[in-house]
This record gives sequence, C-alpha cells and structure tokens, in this order.
Amino acid sequence: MSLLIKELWDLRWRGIILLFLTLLTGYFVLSNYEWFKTVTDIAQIEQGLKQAPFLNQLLDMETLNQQLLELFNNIDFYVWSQWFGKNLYQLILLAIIILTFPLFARETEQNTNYFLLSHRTRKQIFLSKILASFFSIFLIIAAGSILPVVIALFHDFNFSLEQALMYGLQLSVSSLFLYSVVVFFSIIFNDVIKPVIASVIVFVALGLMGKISGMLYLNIYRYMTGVDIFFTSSIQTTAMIVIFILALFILMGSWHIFKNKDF
Amino acid sequence: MHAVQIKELCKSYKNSSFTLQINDLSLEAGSIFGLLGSNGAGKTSLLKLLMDIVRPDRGYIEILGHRPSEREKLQAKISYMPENKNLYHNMTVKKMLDYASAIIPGWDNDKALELKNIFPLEGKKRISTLSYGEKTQLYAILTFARSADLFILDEPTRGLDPIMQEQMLQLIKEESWQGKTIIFSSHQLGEIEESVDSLAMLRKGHMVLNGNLDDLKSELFLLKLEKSKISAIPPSTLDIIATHHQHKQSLILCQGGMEARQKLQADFAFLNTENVNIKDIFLLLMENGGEEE
Amino acid sequence: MQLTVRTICISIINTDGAVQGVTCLIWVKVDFHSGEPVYQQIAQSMKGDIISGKLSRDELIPSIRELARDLKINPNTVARAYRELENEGYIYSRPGVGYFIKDSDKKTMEEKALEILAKEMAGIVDIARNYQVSRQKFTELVMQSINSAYGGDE
Repeated sequence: MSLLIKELWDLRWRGIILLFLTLLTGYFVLSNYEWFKTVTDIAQIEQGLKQAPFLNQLLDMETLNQQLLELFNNIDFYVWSQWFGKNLYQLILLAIIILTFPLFARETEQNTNYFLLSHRTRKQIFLSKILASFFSIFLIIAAGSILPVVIALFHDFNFSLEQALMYGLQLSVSSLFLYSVVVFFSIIFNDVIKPVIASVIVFVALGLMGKISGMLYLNIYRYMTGVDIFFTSSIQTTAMIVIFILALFILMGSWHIFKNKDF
Repeated sequence: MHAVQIKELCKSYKNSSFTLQINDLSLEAGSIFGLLGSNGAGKTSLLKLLMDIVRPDRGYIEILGHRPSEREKLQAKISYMPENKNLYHNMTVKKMLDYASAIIPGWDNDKALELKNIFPLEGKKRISTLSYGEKTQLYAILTFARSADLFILDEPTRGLDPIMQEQMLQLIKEESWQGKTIIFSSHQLGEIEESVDSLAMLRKGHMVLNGNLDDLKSELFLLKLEKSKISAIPPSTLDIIATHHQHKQSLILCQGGMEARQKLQADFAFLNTENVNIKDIFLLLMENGGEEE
Repeated sequence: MQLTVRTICISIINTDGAVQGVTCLIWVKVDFHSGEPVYQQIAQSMKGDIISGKLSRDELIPSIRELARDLKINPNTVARAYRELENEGYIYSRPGVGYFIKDSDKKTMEEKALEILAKEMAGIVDIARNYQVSRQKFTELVMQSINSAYGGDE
C-alpha cells in the first residue's frame, strides 16, 4: 500500500503544477470571451478552421463557411474550440508525458530497482506505478472537464455536467491510449531521456497520420478534442471501445516486458 | 536442511558473451557461505538469480523451499544487499529510513536505532551526496534492521573503513548464531576466511571450488617442488588440482587427506607438503584456471 | 590473523541440592589463515590442556555457543571440535548440562600424549632430513634438548 503513496508522493510537484496550470489557463480562456473577440483576427481563425481536416470531412465547404460565421459568434463554439479543442488537450498531452516518462526509467537509471524488487513483487510495483500516474492524469482531465461547468455559472454560456462527462470520457480514453505508449517507452528504455523523445515522436507521428484524409478515423486527436461531441452531441462509442482495447493491449504488452525483464 | 539448492543452472548474457554455469551447489541452512571470485566471475549474477532480479536460461533453483519467482512468499524471509547500493537520490537519509520502515516486511525500529549507532549517518543528508561507503552504511541498516531467515549480501564490506568492516562481519556472525543463513560475496580473502564455514570460488562463470572451509583445508595440500624434481614423481600418485610454475620452482595444489600426505612424504623424501589457506587456493585456482573441483 | 582467547567460565551446578562452583581456564589459539582447519586447532589446543592436566577431570568446559561467541566463530566449527574430542575420549556430554572433561587413567593420558608427540616428531624429523642433517648430529641434538628439559640423564 505505501508503495502507491510513495509513487503519488513522487508525482506531487509535477502533478500540482500541471493541475494549477490547467485551472489557471482554463480560467483565463473561459472567462475572457469578450476580450477574445476584440483581440482576435476572426478571418485568420476562419482560415485555420477551414483547413482542419476533420471539419472538412464532416461538412461541405459552403455549409462550413456559413456555420463557421454563425458559430464564431457563438460562445459555445468559443468554449469548445479554445478549451477542449486547443488548450486543454495540449495541456493533457504535456501532463501525460511529464507524469509518465520517468515512471520506470528513472528507477533503472538510478539503479533503485534492486531495492524495489527486493521488497515488492513485480506485479505490485507495476500496478502501483500505473495507478498512481494515471490517477494523477485523470485528476487533471476531470478538473479540466468540469471547470467550464463551474465558470459557466458566472458567465453567459451554458455548459452542462453532461457535456463535461462526455468530453471527459473521450479525453480519458484517448489519454489512456497515449499514456500506454509512454509507459511502454518508460519500460523498454534504461534512461529517462529516451522515453521523452520517443513519446514526442510518436505523438507527432499520430498527428501527421491523422492529416492523411481517408485515415481520419485514426486521428487520436480528433477524439481527444471531442469534435464530434461538439457537432453531433454524441460520443464516438465504437472508436472509444477500439482505442480502449488498444490501450489495454499496449499496457498488457508493457507488463509482459516488465515482468520478464532482467535488471 | 538446505537453504539453497542449485542444479544445472545456466545464464547467458548476449551483450557480453558471458555465461554463468553452475552444475550443483547446495547451502546448509544456518551456515555462513562465502562467494569468492574476481570481478566479472559471476558472483553478482548468481546472487541476482537467487533474488529473481535476473532469470536463468535453464536450471533449477530452490531457495528456502521455494522457487525464486515466488517472491510474495520470499519477500519477508530474505534480506538482500545488492552490489549497486544506490537509493533514491532526492530522499534524505531520514526519509529513506522512514520509507523503509513502511515498506520492508519485519522492520525492527529498535534494531534500526542500534544500527544507526554502529553506522552513523546524518539524517538530513541527501542520498545523492553520500559517498559509496556511506551508501553501504545506509544499506547495512536497511538490510539488518529487519527479520529474515536468509541474508544475501553482495560485497557488504566494500567501501567501509576497517572498524565498520569488522562490525559488519560481527553482525553477520550474530545473525548466524541465531540460526540464520548468510551468503556473502567478497574480494577480501581474509574476511571470508575468518567468517565463513563454507564457500565457493567462481572463475569466468564456472565454479572451480566448493565446500566446507575446514574440509577444504583438510583435503587440500600444497607441494613446493623444484622443477627438476617434478619428473621424479609418477603422475598417478598425485591428484593435482592446479599448478603454478615460478622461475625455479613449481607450486602444485593437490587433493588428499592426512594419510595420503604422510604416504607421499614417506615415499618421496625430498617432498614438502604444506597446509593451504584460502589465499593459496585462490591464487592457484584463479591464476591458472583449475578445472572443476 | 592470530586470535588468542582465554575463556574463564564459572559454573554453579545444582546436584542433589548441593551447590558446586567449578572454575576452568581455557586457552585457545586460532589462526584463521594458517591452513590448518579451525576445528582441529581448537581440538588440538584443548587436547593439550587436557593431557597436560591444566583441565582436570569432570571440569565443565564452555558450551559450544559460549566458546563460539568468545572466539567469534561459527558454532558449527566448535561443535565439530567437540565431536572430535568426544569421539577420541577427551570429553563427555551430559544432555541439558554441558560438556565435561573425561576422567582418564594415567596410562591412557600418556598414550594420548605420545600420539600427539609422535605427530610433532614426524614434522621435526622431516625438517632435519630436508636440511640434510646427519642422523648422528640429529640424535645428539635431540639428547641435548631432552637433557636440558628433563635435567641430566633420565
């Protein structure tokens, strides 16, 4: 049990700072719609959005133009595009890497594995680390998803708990998948730098993959930003199940490697 | 009762083309067992295999009646001091000991206090600032401030000053007097000779000697012979384990008890048989690669 | 390293209500690095004390654990020494009480002493032969030593 506490303790500064950053950014973004409207170049954003591949697939160009103009004057759109569509998911990506990369690799780098392996089984070690780190990531996801609900109480936009739960769910499942990738790298590499580099490469590659039209459904970031939730008010259930299974698969593979590794 | 039994053990390391091979090794419960060998001989590998930190390619290991992989059952019974005595860099000594008391089964706070007197350390010091010797001291406290049936120690005295080395050996003996089994590896022949009752010598991954120390001293003897006289002895009369040729004389390590020695001396007047101690055995076996004992 | 230990043990035994105090003095020299098995060194040392009369019959000697602790060695080694002493008739054990020096008549003691002496002599004779000392000179030397120790011709 105290191994779990120690793992959480190890994460405390990074976790607290990331949580604080998330809440601060969230507060700033979500409370400043009016200010945002005055300072932003609407045309530029329009251009950017037009080029977004998933939007192009969902709606044709004509409708897109109309809808965009309408939407832009809609605070709900603002909330989605600036928070879930941009800042939050980027912060979560950062959190996933920062909270996970040294999970196993640091013990190997510092040679503290011998102490750990003498007193706890590999199963206990693996589970404590996974639970502690993903729990921390999940806390940040939860905070980021519920924040709009709270702020909406003081501003003139609507954001329901139901919506928070939907965005939160897609964020969590997508994050679990990306998290499992970082865990994998943290186990196979023996120093802490390589997992960071490898994770960043994979995250970027996943993004590039998604830009290839025809592979839209493979874009993890589409699910992470909750595009479909905004435009269709529903969760992509099939995709979520598939991503969840993939994540579990990678985690099981990581466990298998950890279980059989020589130290 | 055997504390440890090993049969047909084999472990290869692909990166370094080193292979550890132990065909038959048993340790009596309650004994102090010494593991000797040069660097890279395989001592640390063997101890890691006992702890399931490294897995064998094939072979049978039984430790306190269990397979090494049964860690849930063995955690409370085995205390391990690794060769690499690194601990969590950012923790202070005090925090490390607090954490240890929570995570190590059978932790004994009173014993920890006693040990802190023997191996004094400043509680506020960060582990990253400790010297190798100080890390060993800390690990000594972690290893002995708890109950265990078997202590596996990889170079427990390395880095310690002579007084603390002596105290470490004393700790080992005290545990042994209480019926615990101790395995420890060392480079220092002297301390091994004073503490262990049985030992094994490893050379390049093979076990070249194994047995009770007193028995080995009874059953092995040394012949110092001028080179010119070697031919005078028929080879069948000697059970030779290893030889070392110096400039004008040869040293021959032979197997044979008191009777054999007396007969030899009676038959060949010019022969001088001598007792051997660990240093003699070690130097002869390590230098010239004695084969299996 | 040479380790010399003098063990003084004072034991009070309750036998049929009577209280006896027994003191014994043991010198044991142990050299871990000499090449001679440690248990043999202990056994030899005690045999010497017994034969020379320093340890008298029915004296209580330290228990295995006590001696092991004093010498800082493994009890198994002491146990082995005691086994040899018991097998060769130097000591006996009373279960639950301890080990005692065995009563032996003068003739047996002398036999034992000669046994030990013979082994030592073999070693000395070897040295003499090695140094190529003539038989005559060697005999003269031996007689000289005997005379100075025992005094005159005996």
